[in-house]
Amino acid sequence: MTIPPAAGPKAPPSAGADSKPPGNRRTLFGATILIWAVTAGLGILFSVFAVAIGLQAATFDVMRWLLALAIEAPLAAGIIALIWYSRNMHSATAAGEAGAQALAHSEAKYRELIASAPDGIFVLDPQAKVIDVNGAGEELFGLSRAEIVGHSFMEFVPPERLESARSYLADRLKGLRATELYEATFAAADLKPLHVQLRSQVVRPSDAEPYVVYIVRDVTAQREALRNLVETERWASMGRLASFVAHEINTPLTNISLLTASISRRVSDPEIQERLKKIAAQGRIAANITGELLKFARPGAISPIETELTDLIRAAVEQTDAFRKPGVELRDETGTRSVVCTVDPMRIQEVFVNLLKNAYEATPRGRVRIRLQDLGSLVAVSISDTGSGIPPEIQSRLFEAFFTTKKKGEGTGLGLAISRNFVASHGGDITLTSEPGKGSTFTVVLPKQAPGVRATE
Amino acid sequence: MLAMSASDESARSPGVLIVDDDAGIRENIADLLSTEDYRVYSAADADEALHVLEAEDIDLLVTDFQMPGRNGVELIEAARKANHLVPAILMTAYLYVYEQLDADRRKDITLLRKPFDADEILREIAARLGDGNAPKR
Repeated sequence: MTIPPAAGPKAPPSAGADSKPPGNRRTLFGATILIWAVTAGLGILFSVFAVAIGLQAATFDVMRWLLALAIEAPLAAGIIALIWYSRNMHSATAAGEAGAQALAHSEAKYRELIASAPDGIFVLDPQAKVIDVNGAGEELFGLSRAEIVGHSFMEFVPPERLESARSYLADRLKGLRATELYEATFAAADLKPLHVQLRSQVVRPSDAEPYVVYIVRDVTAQREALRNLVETERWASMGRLASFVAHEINTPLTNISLLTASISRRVSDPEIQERLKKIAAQGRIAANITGELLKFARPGAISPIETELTDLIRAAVEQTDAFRKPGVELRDETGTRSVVCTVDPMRIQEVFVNLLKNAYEATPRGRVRIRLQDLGSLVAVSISDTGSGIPPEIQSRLFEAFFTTKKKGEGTGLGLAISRNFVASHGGDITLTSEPGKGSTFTVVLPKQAPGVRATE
Repeated sequence: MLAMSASDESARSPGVLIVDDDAGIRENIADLLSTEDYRVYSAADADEALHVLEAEDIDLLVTDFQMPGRNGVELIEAARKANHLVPAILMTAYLYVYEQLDADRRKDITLLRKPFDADEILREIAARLGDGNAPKR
């Protein structure tokens, strides 16, 4: 099977380039024989007629004339038919040859066009069996032509889309849907989801079964870019909102704190003092939230300086020790060897503090381990716990802002989002491995030399 | 403008100028400081603050960053130019405004991140005035 479908909807896929001349030859030959037979029959009829007339006392001249006619007429008719046949034969052959040549040329041209088309082109029979595919189609599925042609197109459709893919084809064949864009996800060979846009055309040759041409365009990259754009915009608007709220709340919070302290300095009643302390504590909780919001909304430019990473880790360990429960052991595998990194010390220390706090909070008893690895141009700091672990469905959302698994009032859901922003602004990354029931490991990988001062705003 | 706790006996106690466009912050810091032995002055913007610096004996400038007209950093620099070489505390929620200053401009500016509580501002004020100037309770 070749690619005639796309070569022109008029040519059915089964139509060969040289099928017309033999048909014409047969017709001409038949016509010639028929003409000759009729003329010959008429001649014989005349002869019989002439003999009958002659016998019935007609003149010899008439009989001779009729006899001559009876013999010569078929002969003449035969010659005329032969000439006519040969003339027609000649022109038919010439037309056939020229036509075949033009067709072959045009087919080659179209084949080339389709082979080099950037979109995948699949020719399907009404049962969805792939009759033909071009190079882009092979590339799209990561399969060879032999692995596609002869197979049902539905084999490449993910199970959840199978029904809609089938009804789409059925509708197209019934003429129910116009040529339209149809978005779908396909299972590519390397199992990465492939997002495509599909256009189709049903071709109905007059003397053959209809067939369908699918033109499939890979829009995975565009979709990804669009998704990123939407995501970036979402974070930016969330950041603006967070910043606005934090600033508006900061002033009244500061005033509450100042007034509370003023009263506290003026009264001696221990009951009032007790209540004022509670007000101040609540104020600090609120202040902490707005502080986190601002860090998230506008992390600002980082100020990297040469920093001894072991010092940062030690400071973070000291800062978080109050969160360590009595039955939890801290295993510090930082080592004594110096590891110098160009980082913003305040921000990276905050990342370690966040991760250590989370680890302690997830571990009622057991062990929290902090390890520093020098990887040449990179450093890795991993913080592991033997806590409850993180279910897979939560892992993917963990670095999202405002996502928290903690009880109300215990976390803003910003710690990991801020940490990720800080690490990203250093050109690094935070990764997570976790097994429910066994614990989690967060690993911060940083380049020793931060790539310039990058604003993360 | 107003010396909240200035009196003859405390004439030599440290003079603190509070600059903020929010009247609540101004009054409440002044109220808090008045519980301690400070001479407290306040101003709503940079221009008013520069007048107070001119007229009074100020030992410490405590200013907000974002205000109508000149901002807190511009006020501090204008004060320095006018030869009022007092230490300054910059109150702001915008950490980056402080981080953007080079080391020379940061000199003698202490950052106080908003929101802050009473203990923090009292601690900072006492620290900036130094042990010698710290008021007695």
